[in-house]
Amino acid sequence: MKKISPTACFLVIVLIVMTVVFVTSLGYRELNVKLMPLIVSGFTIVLSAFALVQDLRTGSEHTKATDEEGEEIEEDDGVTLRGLFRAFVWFAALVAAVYVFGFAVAMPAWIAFYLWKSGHRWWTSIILGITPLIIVYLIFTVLFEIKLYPGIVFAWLSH
Amino acid sequence: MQTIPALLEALANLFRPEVFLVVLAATIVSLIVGVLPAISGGLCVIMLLPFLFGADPTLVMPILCALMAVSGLGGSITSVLTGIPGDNPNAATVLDGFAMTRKGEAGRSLGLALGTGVLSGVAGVLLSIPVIPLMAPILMACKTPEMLLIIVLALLFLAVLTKGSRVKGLISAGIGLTMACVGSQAASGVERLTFGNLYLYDGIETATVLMGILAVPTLLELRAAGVSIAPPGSVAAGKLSEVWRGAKEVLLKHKLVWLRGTLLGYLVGIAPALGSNTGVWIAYAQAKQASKNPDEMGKGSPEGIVAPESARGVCISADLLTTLVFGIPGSSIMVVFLAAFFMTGIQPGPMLVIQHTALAFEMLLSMALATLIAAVICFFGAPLLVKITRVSPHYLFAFLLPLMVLGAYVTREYPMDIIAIGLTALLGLAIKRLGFSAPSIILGFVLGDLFERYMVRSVNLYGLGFFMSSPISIVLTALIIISVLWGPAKALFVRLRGSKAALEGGA
Repeated sequence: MKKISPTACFLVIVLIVMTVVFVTSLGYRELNVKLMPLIVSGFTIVLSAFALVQDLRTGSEHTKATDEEGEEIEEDDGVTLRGLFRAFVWFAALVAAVYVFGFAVAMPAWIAFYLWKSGHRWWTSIILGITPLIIVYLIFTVLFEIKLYPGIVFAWLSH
Repeated sequence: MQTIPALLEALANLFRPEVFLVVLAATIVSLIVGVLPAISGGLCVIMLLPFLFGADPTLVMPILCALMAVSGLGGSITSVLTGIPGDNPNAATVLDGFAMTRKGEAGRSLGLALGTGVLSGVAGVLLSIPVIPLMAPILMACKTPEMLLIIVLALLFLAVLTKGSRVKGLISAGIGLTMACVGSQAASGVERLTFGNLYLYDGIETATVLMGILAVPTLLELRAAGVSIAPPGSVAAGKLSEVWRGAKEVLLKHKLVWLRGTLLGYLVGIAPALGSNTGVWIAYAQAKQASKNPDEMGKGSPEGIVAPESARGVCISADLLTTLVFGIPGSSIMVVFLAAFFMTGIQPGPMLVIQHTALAFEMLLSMALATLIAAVICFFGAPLLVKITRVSPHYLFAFLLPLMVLGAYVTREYPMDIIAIGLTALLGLAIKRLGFSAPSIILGFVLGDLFERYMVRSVNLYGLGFFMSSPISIVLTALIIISVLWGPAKALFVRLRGSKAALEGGA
């Protein structure tokens, strides 16, 4: 069975999203409101369908290089998909931690934990984790008077 | 308008000790905030607004101009050395600037960016002084359909030049334009594509999209590759001579690219509301189209640095000119300048140039002065700055990633922007790895609002035949058709020639 390429999967998602946009836009009453989303989504649907057909025809023809563990390597920069996934998990953890616990807690904790896992001593990691928070606090909160997001947990506790 | 006496008065004002000192201080502050990815000179201008009531405009306006003029130069340092746009107009410089840095030529890359930025910054001011009397007929010729067609042309230029697949480039532009549709429509206030989500009513924030699509994927890839920005054992990029060599290269080897980028940037800059965010991408796309090695663009080509930086450097003085002469913001941040004019008791528009000619020149000259001061600081500070490229990706990942999340949040202080940067980063990573065009998405997103406004107005005013409404529209439409058909026609021509040669060979 022919393996579906990641590009084809992405194009299918684009097609679904653009179809939703198109159908939703049809429901708006005024022409001025629906004109742009209709034109843009319609145009993107046609192009995505064309690209999908093209990809399904030719997508599986080229093969990619693999590293010693059999991992696919992208052509230019030697980045493995596993490495990219790991990096994204770290990023997703940061986003989730900031959203839940706020910048004051999540930022130093995430930096310290990341550096500790990267081989730094625990006390160096803690110092390096706290320092950016102090700088950020001085620049944003003291100088620009921007209140740092406290996170949903602390916002809920303060209520 | 007596040009020469006003120019001399402006020069005398600018070199008053107190004015020179505040311009110097504003230049240093602007460079520092420009280097930081999350904040820009525009934010500093906004922060200063409450303190401008009743202030002396001859003292205050040069400060604002210096803040605006130099921030982009600081941003180009960040873009070239870390792959993160220091400011929105620096996004195009990242593509080739950072690629060159990763080849181990950080000094050259920095020299090219700084040299171009300084030259164009000064050229913009020199162009603006004699251009003031010529502005009216140019702007009057650009009506709504022409503005719409310019945007379409910009989107097409970038999309059709996407490496590997033009269709992917066009799909990317479509995604960007669709993202711009989310939220309340600017003209009517009607909410669209929000699906009942309150957060989406205000649309998706530009800073979040820029960080998510361009900056975060770069850092994730750096972390995944596990090497420092510049490869170990690469050339001695930290030397001043390397930076200087890069700067000289602009005039010695790439003067045509610089000239075209500067002129394009200037034309885009004087067009109302387009600004440097658009100018840099148009210049980049044009440079790619005109390049002898278009495949090298995006891989560390000097042309890919010179073209967008020349447009960025020159755009700001052109933006200011439109704002000064017509009272129409040349770009989004110039709206803040308009507010600053009112706060200091000055009415922008044609009367400003007649009544306050010296002030208009002083503002332009303060931009040139700030750029020259920044050039000295940047060139001598460059060997220190390029050392950032030797930093382990773990440190960059650990310290810059939280700063980006913070940057996404501080723009509007919406907690959901934190989640939004995560989602846009996922999209950015997908489009980058699958060969779609990140610049096309960004351009579509940034220009979406203007695109819609001009499209609706054009259709309402001229009907569906708006693209034939004037000679300029006809020329622009012809350019659009050529840019769409050029690739397929060329491919067909090559195929026909190949089959003819095969037939002759067979015979």
